Amino acid sequence: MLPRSSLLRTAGRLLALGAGLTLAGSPSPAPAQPVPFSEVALQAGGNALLDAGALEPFYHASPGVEAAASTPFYAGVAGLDVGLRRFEGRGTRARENLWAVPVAVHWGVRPGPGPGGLRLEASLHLGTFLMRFSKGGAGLRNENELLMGTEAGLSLPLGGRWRLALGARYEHVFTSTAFSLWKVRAGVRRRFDAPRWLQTLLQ
Amino acid sequence: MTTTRPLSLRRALTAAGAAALLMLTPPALAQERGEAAPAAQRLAGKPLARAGLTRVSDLFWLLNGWETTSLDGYAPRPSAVGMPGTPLVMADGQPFDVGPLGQPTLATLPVHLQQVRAAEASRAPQLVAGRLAPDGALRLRLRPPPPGLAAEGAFSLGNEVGDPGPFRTTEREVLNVDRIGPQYFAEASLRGPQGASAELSLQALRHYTTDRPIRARTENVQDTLDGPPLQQLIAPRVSLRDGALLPGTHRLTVDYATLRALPLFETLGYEVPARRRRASASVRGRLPPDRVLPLNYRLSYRHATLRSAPTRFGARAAPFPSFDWAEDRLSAQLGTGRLSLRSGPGDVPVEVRAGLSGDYVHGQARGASLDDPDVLTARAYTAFSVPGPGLRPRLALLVSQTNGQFGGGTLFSARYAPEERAQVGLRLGYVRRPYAAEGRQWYWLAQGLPVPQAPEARVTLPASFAASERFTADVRLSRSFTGGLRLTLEGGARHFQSMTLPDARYGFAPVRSPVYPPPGGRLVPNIHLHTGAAGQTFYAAAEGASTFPEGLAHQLRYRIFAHRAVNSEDGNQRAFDQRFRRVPRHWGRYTARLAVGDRFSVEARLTARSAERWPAYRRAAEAGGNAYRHRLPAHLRLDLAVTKRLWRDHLRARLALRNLLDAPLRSHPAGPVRRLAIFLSLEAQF
Repeated sequence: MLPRSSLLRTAGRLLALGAGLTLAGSPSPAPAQPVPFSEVALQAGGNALLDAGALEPFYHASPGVEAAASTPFYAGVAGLDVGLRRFEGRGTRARENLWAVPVAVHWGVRPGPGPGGLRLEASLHLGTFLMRFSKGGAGLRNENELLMGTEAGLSLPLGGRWRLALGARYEHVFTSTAFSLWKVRAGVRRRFDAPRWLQTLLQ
Repeated sequence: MTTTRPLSLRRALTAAGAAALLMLTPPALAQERGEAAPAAQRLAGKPLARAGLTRVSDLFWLLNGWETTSLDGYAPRPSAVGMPGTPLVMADGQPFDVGPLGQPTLATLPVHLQQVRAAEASRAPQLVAGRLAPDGALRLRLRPPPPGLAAEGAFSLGNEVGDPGPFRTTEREVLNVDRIGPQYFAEASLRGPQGASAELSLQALRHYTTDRPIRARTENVQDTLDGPPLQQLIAPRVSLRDGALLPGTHRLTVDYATLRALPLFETLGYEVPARRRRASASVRGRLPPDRVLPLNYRLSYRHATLRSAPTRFGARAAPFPSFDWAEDRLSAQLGTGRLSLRSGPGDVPVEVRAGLSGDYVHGQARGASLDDPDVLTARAYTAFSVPGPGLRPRLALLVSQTNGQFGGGTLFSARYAPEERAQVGLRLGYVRRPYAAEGRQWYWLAQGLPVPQAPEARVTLPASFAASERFTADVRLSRSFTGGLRLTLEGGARHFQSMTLPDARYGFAPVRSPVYPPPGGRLVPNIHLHTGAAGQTFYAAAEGASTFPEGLAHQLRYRIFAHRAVNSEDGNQRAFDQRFRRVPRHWGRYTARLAVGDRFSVEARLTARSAERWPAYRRAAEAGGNAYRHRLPAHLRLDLAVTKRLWRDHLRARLALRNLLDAPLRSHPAGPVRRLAIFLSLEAQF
């Protein structure tokens, strides 16, 4: 039987491959591509951490919540993600707890729709992994570090402008001991027409 | 803008006579007309805005043919490939000289990148601002203020990877790698209908000391987790232009910079907290152009200081090096505008400029009496050019005297376009420069400047400094092909003699108990300054550029460099060899720019370079473990910048990733190791 880390590495490669194929295979810009910044999609949901990599021996991770906003870009979609998760130190191995707030911009594609209104989705993420520590040890309560990630998933219509989004995400945080986070996530997304002021701002 | 007006032969002779009395003005950069001369490059507008730069000094990374070293990672010392010294930096027509007493310029430059409209760099000697810049020059042309009342602002912040993050209270705890910046810039301007304008700008930034080798060298001056700031700059600037009240056009600029920093003294072997201040005022302009002889003038005064500031940082170790230096510089220039001389109808005109310039420098140091605290330089110069349609030659001559030592130079350039798509350029130069005119720290050290020096350090200075001589030659061939492909071949050679260069050997003295491993240590200098270094440097480069498909531009450039020291037995050969072995032999860069209309762009640069060798640091590297390197390995660096304009051009947001491959990069054997870093910049204008 393969160890868990091997399985996760394999899953990660499949995820990256899926995201890469979706990004590469997406017609860009598709004829149905909306006008850039004409719409805004807001998404809210939760995620569960499958693996915390090098953090595992030191912290327990809670389930996370997240929110995202996206808009049609010149090709594909672009947006901003924010998440929240609690890491509890494992006794003496880590002497403090922390709140983690990953904030990232993303660019991706959502080709389709296919049968049943299903869309494949893939995106690349770049941002910062904000950390708020429970103690002011070492002089600082807050820290942040570069985060890069990729995601692949699908979305299903729920009726009207609502969709259900499901996916898996891989995030890599470039701390001195770099760690990777594997997540599965689910959320609901609603599409809005972008107000004129927002279009003016983004264009 | 320079006035060009045809004159009759008689009036021309009168003007020439007056010019001979007044002596002569600088020739324009070859690129002023948008054409790059050999060993020159011009960056302007969108390429500058899309490159993902955050500071003016970053320009030397973007420009071709420049090398930068930095002891702290933030204050670079640039030099043109094949040149031994640093270039003259000019902003808005105002030279920014080294100082005080040899300290590098760029760290206190009171100009923000957002103010720069164009950057023109010359890697060969150039006549500029009435003086010869023997090691090349960087001229920053600043944006004129928009009509009416306007305001601009900018903010940038960077973060380098490698923080301990969640491991900071575990057994994997390491030293924090702090953020880069923040950097702030704000400017307000008012421009009237007749060209009069007023600008007020302010920039501020702060960088931190978290690099391990630097932390180890500065253990005795740290009283906080971050340590003293590597750089903390506050620099206001006021510029007033008048085109209405007085005859002619005039510009008054007043700027000030205060910098808290940790300069490393080569004679000491480690950093000392210090504060630099620089205050300058300059007025320049053009006297009424309706006279026979239009005149340009410039007058500037600068006061610069460098003081040790150990108590501010709570130094624990005593005795602590203490110093207090000051330098006053008065500069003046008077020259003609461009005069167009014609001997008759149909003849090709000859454009002439001429002028006089001079600098007076007075140095002083608390507790010391300098042997000769004054350096006086007087110059006379002239330049001729023939702006014909085919061959376009230019000739510039300068003679100078610095404290009784003769200097001068002759620069010749010509461009020829055998056909519409092809151009050949040639540039030749000879420069003789008295060492005192360079303003180097070694000169002031020889005058008795009390530079901090380690007790065990050995510094040997010459009895006198010779004037250096250099001959330069550069050639460039470029041709455009159908389909938008443009190929350029470039090459150059330099011959130096009587150069004053250090032959240095740094030992290593460990720090006993550093807070964070691995242990580091300070350098133990053994420096012998030689005045007879001689040799040659050579470079050749090839560049191809095209746009395919529309909106995606590609540029590929490769350069090879070599040097040869003239045989000598007294250390001159070693000194010359030490200076140029650090230049990588091979360098290449591929740049791709994707632009979606005017509003969104992505630029990627992949730079490859071969190893650098710093023989002076061999002993320190062998004794100091990872703290020092005498060979900086070959590396591959990938940079990426994404720029988006927002809100009808009122806002511009930029995300830049530097060293995306996360290679450990060093630009100096004693400097910090740089890893992957992300920068966010926001710019606003109203």
